[in-house]
This record gives sequence, structure tokens and C-alpha cells, in this order.
Amino acid sequence: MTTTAQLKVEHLVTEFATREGVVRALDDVSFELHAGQIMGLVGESGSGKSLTGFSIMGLLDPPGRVAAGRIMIKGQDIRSMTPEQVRQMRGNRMAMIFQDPMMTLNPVMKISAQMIEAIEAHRRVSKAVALDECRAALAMVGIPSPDERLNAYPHQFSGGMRQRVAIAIALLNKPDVIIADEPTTALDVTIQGQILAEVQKICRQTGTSVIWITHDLSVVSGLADHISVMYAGRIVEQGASAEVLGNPSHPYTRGLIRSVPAANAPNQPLYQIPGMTPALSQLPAGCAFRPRCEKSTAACLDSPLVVPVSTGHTVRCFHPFREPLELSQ
Amino acid sequence: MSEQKPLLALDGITKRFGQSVDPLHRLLNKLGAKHQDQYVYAVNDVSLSVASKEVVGLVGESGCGKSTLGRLAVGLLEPDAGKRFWRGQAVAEMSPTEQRRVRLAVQMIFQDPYASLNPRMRAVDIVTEAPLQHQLISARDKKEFAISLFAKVGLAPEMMERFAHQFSGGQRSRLGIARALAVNPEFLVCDEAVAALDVSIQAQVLNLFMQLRADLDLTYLFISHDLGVVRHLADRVVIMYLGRIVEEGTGAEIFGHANHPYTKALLSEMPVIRLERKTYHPVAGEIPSPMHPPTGCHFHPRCPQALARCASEVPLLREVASGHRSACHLNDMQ
Repeated sequence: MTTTAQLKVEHLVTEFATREGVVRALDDVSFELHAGQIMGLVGESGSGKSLTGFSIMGLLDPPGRVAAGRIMIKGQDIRSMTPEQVRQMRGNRMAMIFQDPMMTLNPVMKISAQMIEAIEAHRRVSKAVALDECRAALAMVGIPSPDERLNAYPHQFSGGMRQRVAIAIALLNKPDVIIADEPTTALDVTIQGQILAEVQKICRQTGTSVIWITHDLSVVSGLADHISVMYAGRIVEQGASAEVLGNPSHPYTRGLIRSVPAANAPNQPLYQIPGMTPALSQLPAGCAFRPRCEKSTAACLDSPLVVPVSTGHTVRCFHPFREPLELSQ
Repeated sequence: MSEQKPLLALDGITKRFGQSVDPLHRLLNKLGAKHQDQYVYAVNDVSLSVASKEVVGLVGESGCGKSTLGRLAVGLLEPDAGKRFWRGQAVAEMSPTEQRRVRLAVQMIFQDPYASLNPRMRAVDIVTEAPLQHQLISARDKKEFAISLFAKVGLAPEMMERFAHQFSGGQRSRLGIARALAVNPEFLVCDEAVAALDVSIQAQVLNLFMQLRADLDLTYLFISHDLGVVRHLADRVVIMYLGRIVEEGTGAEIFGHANHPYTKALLSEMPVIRLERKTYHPVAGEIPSPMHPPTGCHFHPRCPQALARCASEVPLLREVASGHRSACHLNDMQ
């Protein structure tokens, strides 16, 4: 890995100042992403996975703020940039796709106008050139007859098609990084399959890196090169997909995989992680997973450090599992 | 299943939504205009039977009519055609007293427990309202009854005085289940009951469903878009596409030897945890609007193996193996 990473996040801390005091929503989040790679960022609601995306994009609203850490895009630290420089970069070198495409799309503007707007915000090109680029982007995400579709309004598209348009807009300025926040969660299985196929193809063709945020381990398992698992604002395990899923070392990762119905024999009781996700304002001391963990000991009252399991595979745990996980499929 | 009378059966059920031509346009029609009634056939000539203590999984994508079929099974909707049978007896022909008994025996659990729980009622009142109304318990026994219900679904008795918003997502699901169980039902229709839950919580609720099935001899119609969940729970699986059943069979048959091209497409896109990267080969095309469904087999415009007759002729459900029926013209070719 001699090349500079497209995106490198180091020891990112995001905090919210609330009436009850400062809540640390992200703590020591680090990862890097190289050209054309897809990283799955997996966690349950409230684990901080979307917040990681917002922090990188500079989309945090007060009282939230990035309190520490570095976010490097091709070696440039975003946190040392002026707000204007960040604005120039957002939508240009990095883009975000949301779960609900109507968050991206303006319901009263034609698709063509919205797409051209996204190009003109960052580059001076003639309208004809811009239109050509829009057409190419729509074709790339698999929208049939892009010429006609450019003149349509968002409500004339189905849910899956809207999500494709949102992806096409994200692709317009050939960004280095796309952050996709649960983009297929609301879609049907057959449509989700179509979108995943397009994303995989696009990364291979353009070298764009993708952070795919999801709660569904099975979706990223077929898509991502790397997986990072989040719990209560920390990345508890990360590594190559096959490593993380085949040799899950953190008790939480293992619990998550074992509780997926498809990973269990039919009609057998599912493995269940006891308890619930703690509120970020009342995190237990030390390892946040300690009260729900079957392996916890007195040592877990201290915060665990990140330790390597194998090449490129790390875990934040005092008692990581060492043996592979057998799934009954 | 033919030896034994099914617990609940739907026979040739059709439910359409829409509007008939209003008086003005009817008048215009007399002058030669051609305005027609517009209907969406949410459920079109569907027959389904569920045996006692069976778990039937009903699978399909959005707009296929699975929720409508669920509501028809519970009796929340009246069918436009077809009959509903309870233990072999047509419900529509029963006396009002008997009908009320059936209504209590069939209960529904909704996807969004938040939307289906009254925000101004305390948990204890939510679960005891129905049994009090139907005089299954007396007001004196209310507390005790709620405590035993709470214990059944794994809620702490201290939570009884809380309001719905004070529960977490998983606890709200449990509360919705407790409310359904309060009237001693025999049959539960679960409409996407675990879809909104996180994986670790979903596992807890699915385990509860299986536990209750064993403890209370319950029968389930489990509606879900999630094949993994259905494979885990269901004895028998029914696949719907645009208002029709396209395939049904035992879990082992459907997941082992799927017959219909649509089922095969669904299964190949079903996300499972795998260790190698997947190359996706998705079915092309979108789910057509139920307003204007394709002629013949509804799936033919997206079907990779479509024949000429698929566009004109509706395929019928036919047995392809023991206890396994599929509606596909390709089965005539062999």
C-alpha cells in the first residue's frame, strides 16, 4: 500500500453538547479506503454509522462537532480547510447518497436541471457538454432511454429509479469517495440486486471508492472488500470481508452474524444478544459492549485497545475469539 | 392437508380497490364517451388454506397484495368475491355470535407497533382493553391478567404503567404481541412484524414467536418480504406477485427446488452472508404498476424464459411435486 489512500480517517471524535453534558457519539474512528474499494460500515441503529458519514462530509449540525482526529482526502486534511474549500469539495470530490432519494432530489425541478446544477456548482462547462455528461451518468446507472428521462420530474420515477438518479448525481463530478447511507434499505430485493450490481460495476470502472453504510451484514457481504463493524460510536472490528465474516473476533460481530435468520438452521432458536444498545449518554465505562457480552471480565472495565488478529484484521477487545465461526447454512 | 379441515381457508378471494364511474361521467357515457370503472386488483382469485398449528410464510415485493391478503384473512377487509372459511365453515354464513368468536380467534400483529398502539393509553390498558370489552376478564382481575400477559412476552411487570413512547422498538413489538394474545387467539397474522427491528432485536422477537407457537399451539400467517426470516420460521411458503399466488410449497421445496422463474429470481437476490464477493445477475425491469398489470402471466415482461403464450394466457397453479404448486407455462413443456 504505497499509494496514498483516497480517504483516510484517523482517530475521529464527534461530540454533541447536550444539556446533560457532552455526549461522545463517535470515538476514535479510524479507517482508510483505496481507489475502487468498497467498505461496508455496519452497525445497528444508534451505533454512529450515519454520523461517521455526516462527519466526513462536514454535514454535522450544531450542537454536533468533530472534536478531534483527521479526515484526509488524497492526503489533504479536511479539518484544516476553510468552510468555502470544504463546500467546493463536497459534491465534487466526495458525494453522499441517502436512504430516501427524495432527500437529494428537488420535487419541483426537472432531473436535467438538478443534474446540470450539480455540475455547474463545481465546473464551468457549456450546457451541451453538461447535458452529455448527465446522459452518460444516467446510462451508467442503468436508466433506460436517458434522453427522455432527463425531462421528467422526480415523482415520475419509481423508488428504485429515483435511487439510481441520486447515484447518477453523486457520480457527475467523478468523486473520489461516495458515502452511501442505507441506499437500498427501502427497496425491494430484486431492485436492490440491480442497484448493487450497478455500484459494483461503477467502482470497478471509475476507481471511485464507496463507503456503504448499512445495518444488514448480508448485503455488504457480497458487495464490500472491507467491513467495519460499529458499536456505540466505536469501530469494534474491521478487516477484509471474508476475514471479518469468516473469523469474527469481536463478541458483538459474532453475535450479529449468528442472529441473522438466514445464517441459522430453520426452526432452531436464533442466537440472541442479550439486552439492548445503550444510550450514548449513558455508556457503560470501559468496553461499551461489556454488559451484553458473554466473555466480559473485570478487565473490560478499562477501554480495550485495537489489536491485530491477522493481516489487516483488527479488533477492539480484550478477549477476542480466535477460532473461525461455522455457520449452518 | 386435505384429510384434515384447514383452520382458516380463503377460497377464490378477490379484493379490488378503485372507483366506479361517477354520475357525471356516466351521463357523458350515454352521450358516447367511454369512461370505465378503474380498479386495482390487489388480490386476484387467490385461494389459501392454513392448517392448525402450521406456520405459513407469505412472501412478495411491495404492491404484490400480501398485506391485503393478510387483512382479508383477519377479516379487516371484506372480499369482493370468494369466501373465507373458519374450520370448514363459511364465516359470512355464521351467526353474529359465531362471527365475533372467529374475530377474536384471528388476531393481527402490525409492522409498526408505534402506529398501532394508542399513545395516550398506558400499557396495562392497551393489553386489557379488548378482553374487558369482550368480558373475557373482569375489571378486578385486570392487573393480574396484564402481569401474566407481560410475562408471556418477556416484558417486566414494572412497565405496565408506561406509555407506548417509553418503550424501545423491541419492547413495543412485544407489547403489540401481548395485545394480540390477550383474547386467546388461535391464529395470528403477522404483517412484517419484525421488518423495522435491528438484527439483534429481530432475533429476540423471532425467538419469542417460536416460543409462543410451542407454548400456545398457535397458527401463523407470517407476511414478510424477507426470505431469510420466512425460511427460518415457515413450514409452508407462499409467493405472491401482483395480486396472484405464483408458487407455494413446503419450505424445503421452495428453498430447495424453486420452480417459478420469479421465485428463482427472488432467491438468487436474497442477501445471505457469504465469504466471497458476489457477482450480481439481477432480474431486469421494474415491478409493473398494479393499475395496469401485464396481460397473461404478470411476470412475463421480466421473465428470462418467457414464451409467446405467457403474454396471452394466465398460467394456473398446478402441482409440480407433492405439496408444491407453481403457476408457470414452462411446466407444460417437459
